[in-house]
Amino acid sequence: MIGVLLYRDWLNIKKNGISLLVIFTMLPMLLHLFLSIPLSNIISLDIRYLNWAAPGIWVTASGLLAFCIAILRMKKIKHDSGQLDALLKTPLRNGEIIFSVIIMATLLGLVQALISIAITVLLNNENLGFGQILLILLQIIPLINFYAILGTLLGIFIKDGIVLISIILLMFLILALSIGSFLPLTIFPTNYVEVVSLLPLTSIINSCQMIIQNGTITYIGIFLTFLLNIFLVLLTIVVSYKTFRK
Amino acid sequence: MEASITFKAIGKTFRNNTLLADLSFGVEKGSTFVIVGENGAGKSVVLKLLVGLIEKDAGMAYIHGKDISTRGEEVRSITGYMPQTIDLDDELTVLENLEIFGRLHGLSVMDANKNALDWAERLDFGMNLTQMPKDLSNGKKRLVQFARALVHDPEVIILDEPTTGLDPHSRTKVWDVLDKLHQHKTILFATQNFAEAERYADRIAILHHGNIKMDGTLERLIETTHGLTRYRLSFSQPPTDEFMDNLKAFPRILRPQVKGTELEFYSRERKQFFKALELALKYELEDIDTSICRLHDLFVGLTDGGLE
Repeated sequence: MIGVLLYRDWLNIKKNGISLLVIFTMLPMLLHLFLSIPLSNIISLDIRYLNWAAPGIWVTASGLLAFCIAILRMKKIKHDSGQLDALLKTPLRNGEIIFSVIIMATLLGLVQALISIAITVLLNNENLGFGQILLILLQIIPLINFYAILGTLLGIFIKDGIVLISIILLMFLILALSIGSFLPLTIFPTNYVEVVSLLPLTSIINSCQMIIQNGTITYIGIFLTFLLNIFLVLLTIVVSYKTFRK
Repeated sequence: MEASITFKAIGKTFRNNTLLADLSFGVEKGSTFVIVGENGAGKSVVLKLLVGLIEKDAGMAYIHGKDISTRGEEVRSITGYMPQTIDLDDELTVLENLEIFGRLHGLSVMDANKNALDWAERLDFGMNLTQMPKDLSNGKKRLVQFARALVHDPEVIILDEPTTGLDPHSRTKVWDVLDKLHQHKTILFATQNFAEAERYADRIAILHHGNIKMDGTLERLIETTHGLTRYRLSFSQPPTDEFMDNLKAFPRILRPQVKGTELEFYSRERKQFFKALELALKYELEDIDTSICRLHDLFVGLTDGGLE
């Protein structure tokens, strides 16, 4: 059944293929142009800033895209045009609807990550080996998945367009500026850094930065994000059983 | 006859409003059961509850012996439901809408396509298959929804006011289809169209404030009126207050109601009618019309304070 729902989403994507392709390419380029380049003039690091900030572009672009796709898809199913009732009268389980949204958002987030990697490699004249790309994806996939699940959960509750835009902006600010993706954590107060360093997302971004510097990477972020994702999926399914069928 | 749908003491409240109160009824396999009721009577609630769109607070409900709460997926796989509101996916074409819903009900890709094309041809929207639902007229959308409810060949067909918004030609098509399906499917539909209920139902239930006031075959329902007749007198001018006061002298004249220049009332006794007629002749009576009570009259009587 999930396969049929994913096929349905694929039919939608095919119809909006060009606009999606534009978003896929524009998002990392805009982050590069309006965040990385201006910040490269202000921040000085041991390595070239543009190279150091590339993982920030991958994570922000793919996480944000997965989050937006999930939240918009879920909002549409739950609140717009009676789509939820249309699905609930079929033999589908709530979990299948939830999983289809999460899977599609994660897959699109993954495509966004790959395109972002390709674009930053081209723009920064980086040399990334196949092994490095695999390691980066290994780190990024749980994070994309986290944002897809979070978007799905929030999409169940959010009806209002203004609230939606506010949440997307907030998510962008968190992703881009506060967990060490574009601004090095060393510039923040020590107390803040101590708290933020505990977040698995920070650990993932740090590991991605280490991969391109051939430094030591950790897998604790992946592991913790994976656990967090399981908890969030269960929570989303519970919430769906409380809210889908009145 | 074997039961297809069983409702046992179902209760449902929503935001402190009682939508269904201790509701019980049964629908036999291969029969057409119609629920009639005014707006807000709970017709749609009954149908939505059967397909799992809302959950009951009390009671038990079964479709083909399967509990709708514990075996919801199985129940929904043998059920086709057409809601009152348009809920087609506007991002898919008409054909994709039909195919996807066929597949979600367990059809193979080939069968879903074949059935979708078949229904499009039967319901005359073959040329609209590649269009998006938002580009269709409301009537066409309803036809597509009707086809979508049937695309997986369900054993139980549940329809919420299926002909609302349809032109006469499309309405006939829908009833032709249901007439054919009626021989081997269970059909449950809600309507406010009494003529359709009388024409197509094997059994009719009158729902009022979440409770069934009366149910049975049309003949049995009519029998309960014990020969009650509706009379309509047309005058050249609206009946005067004096005339209406005089009419009160006849206790067997029931529910006299003035509608413009017409007076409508019910009675079981011809003599009372003749006396009222004698009185009316003094007030520029132009025409009279009599008809035995039908479903509409029974419904009005049961739901609007009674005919007595």
